[in-house]
Amino acid sequence: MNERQFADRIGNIDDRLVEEARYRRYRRGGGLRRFLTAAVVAALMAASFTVGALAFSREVPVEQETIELPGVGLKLVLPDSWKGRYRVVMDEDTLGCDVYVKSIYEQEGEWAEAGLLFGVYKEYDYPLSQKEIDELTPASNWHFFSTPDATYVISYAGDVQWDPSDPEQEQVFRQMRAEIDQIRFLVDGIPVH
Amino acid sequence: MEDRQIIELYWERAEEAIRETDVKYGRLCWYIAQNILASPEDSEECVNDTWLGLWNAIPPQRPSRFSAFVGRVARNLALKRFDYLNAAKRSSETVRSLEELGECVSGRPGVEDELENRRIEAAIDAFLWSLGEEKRAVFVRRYWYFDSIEHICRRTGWSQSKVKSMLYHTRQKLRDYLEREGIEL
Repeated sequence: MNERQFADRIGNIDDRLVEEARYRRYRRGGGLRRFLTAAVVAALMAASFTVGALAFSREVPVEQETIELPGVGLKLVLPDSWKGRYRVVMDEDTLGCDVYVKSIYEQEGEWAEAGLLFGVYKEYDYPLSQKEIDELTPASNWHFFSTPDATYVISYAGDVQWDPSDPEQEQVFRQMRAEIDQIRFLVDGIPVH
Repeated sequence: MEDRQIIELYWERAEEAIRETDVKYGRLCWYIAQNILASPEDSEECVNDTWLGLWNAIPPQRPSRFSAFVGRVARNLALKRFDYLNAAKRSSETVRSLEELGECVSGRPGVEDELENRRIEAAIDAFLWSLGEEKRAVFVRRYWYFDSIEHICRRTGWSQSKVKSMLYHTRQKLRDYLEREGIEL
């Protein structure tokens, strides 16, 4: 059998396998960790709307830490405390980026390139309705938001992102993750999320 | 509109069936075709061909899971179109995905036998159902929907190394499983 014939065989698998292959919350660890992670994500989502509303009329000082995504028209204003502590990895097709804890990402060994705090990507060139977003969002570790012209997704790490044998890494990661709610997402200078 | 209502429209030979299918599943079909063809124009044509394929398939068929049925028609048509496109136009992502699948098989073209094909598909079903939900979903997203590794990472929050490792081990296990089932690969 060649790979093309094999692809055809896979194409005829049980319909339920196809329908159920949706992205869901994928986490490792015990119940408490799952609960805490869910609580953090929920808090992040709730806080982001508040921050967005409060920040609406503010201008962005030029000295603030920012990530520009000109390919998708998005600008992220980061907490001042992140200066020199984060690493941005741009998507190959320039539709977004992943943001890491720099010290974790740049370490050597098994946990190199870990430390993912979040990714932000433009998913559609048009806005989705809330109903469409709800249908697309079965997982709590990724979150869609729409502007009048596009739909973006923020995805949070779903598994452990630090070397478990190094408590300092965990502390740094948790601190920066807790500060994600301070990030402002701007399109043309206007907070959108 | 409910799936069964759309299917009834096909059985009544009402053209509204296609419009309703387009509204409900047009985006899904385009997504699958675009994953395989990496060309908006080809994907659009593939979606239009999908509506014709559905029109010809229903009746006599009455699919119980319409979204998977529609997606399968789009996938099959996109792969056929992929076969006919010249190499320069091929989506490298699809080539990579097929190359990965090549690890599970000998690479020698096999004789198409309907009964044997059904047996292989049943074995793949059984293998996939034996996996944990996460591994199963990632495998199907990669080799049924042809999602890119980057896309899977973005959706799951996992690193590329984790996703690639997961897929690699699943492919090896699938190959072992099919061999144990006496399937000639």
